[in-house]
Amino acid sequence: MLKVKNKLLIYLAFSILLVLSASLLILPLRTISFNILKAPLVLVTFVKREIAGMIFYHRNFVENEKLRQQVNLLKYKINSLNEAYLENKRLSRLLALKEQSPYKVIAARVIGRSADNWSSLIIIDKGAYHDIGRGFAVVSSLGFAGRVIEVTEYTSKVLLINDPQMGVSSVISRSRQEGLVSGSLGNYLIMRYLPKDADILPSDIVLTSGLTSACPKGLLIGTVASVGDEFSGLSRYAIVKPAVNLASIEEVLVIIR
Amino acid sequence: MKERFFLWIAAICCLSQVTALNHFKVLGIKPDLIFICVVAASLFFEFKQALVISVLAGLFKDIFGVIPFGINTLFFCVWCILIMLVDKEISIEDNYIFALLIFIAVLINDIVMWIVSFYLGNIISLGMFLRITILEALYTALVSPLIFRSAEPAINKF
Repeated sequence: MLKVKNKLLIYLAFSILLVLSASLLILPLRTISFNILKAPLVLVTFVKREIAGMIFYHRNFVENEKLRQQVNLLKYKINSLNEAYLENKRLSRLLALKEQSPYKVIAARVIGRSADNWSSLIIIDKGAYHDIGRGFAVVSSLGFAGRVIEVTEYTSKVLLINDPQMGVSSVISRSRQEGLVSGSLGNYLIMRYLPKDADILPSDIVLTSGLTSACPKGLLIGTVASVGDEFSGLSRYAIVKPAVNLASIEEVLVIIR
Repeated sequence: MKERFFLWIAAICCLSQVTALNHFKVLGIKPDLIFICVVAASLFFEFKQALVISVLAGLFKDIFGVIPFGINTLFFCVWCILIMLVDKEISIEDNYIFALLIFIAVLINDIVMWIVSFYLGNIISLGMFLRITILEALYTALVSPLIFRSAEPAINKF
């Protein structure tokens, strides 16, 4: 009786093994088998890894230290490469503008900004030594940025277009309507002195008109965001979104006359 | 030693004011760390030393501004004297009193600045002025205890 039972068990085990082996060969069955075997495999691997970890603790510790150092080094490299990539992108854009520009221009880097909230200015790393003079127009790859107001031997102070002291004669690209663009110390500019019947619409492009000395004609200032009536009711004004992101400007081109 | 340490803090504040602080602008306004340094110097040091720090801070602010040269230097010296007079009258121990002092000082300083700018032909509209003044005073007052309280123990050590 016992022998029969043993035989049955052997047959049963053999059949299971056969089915499992066969299932490994057939894709759908293989998937099911893997799913069944997954849990014990994970457990075994976990135990094996833990034991190996305990045995080779010191070797792993040293290796871990080395790898950490490598990771830090690679992180540093990635950061510096990323910075170089972004700088490269910006400079390539500036270079493209330099090649397209009919004016003689000098590329400069922004090294400082206004210390107070009453003005919007930047300090650039080029000055009189590089032929930069007072009143020269400053542009970025996207459009007009400001004007040089002070020059030292190796640095210059540039008043940005969003400063209230700044005023640039401008024109609407579509209707040729003229006005004066000045800053508001915020993210937007104001185009003033527009007649009551001025042909001006939101999304119109605003360009420099060339009437302001030292500011060449046709430089992009921005796009009209909205139009309103002045308090007096005699004229209109337009809110202009500058083309250049003045808050994060890092490189500029100074137009040399 | 104490002065030298404070000068380092002031130098860091000044450099941050014209570089890194532009990334921390709220509604286009940044806090005036240089002004906080002047007020802190007036509270920490003797008259002569505080005056020297105020002059240096004023000169720095004048260099990085468009308002005629020397105005900030002059105002900072006046503030230094005024803060010292106030310090004799009231005890500035709590953070909120220091922040309140900064808030009022920045507010008055901005009003005087606006009048001077107006007189010099640099007209800033009332709306723009109110926005800048109130936000700047609030932001500077909120930041001031952080700088003041972090510098105070280190300075007192010397």
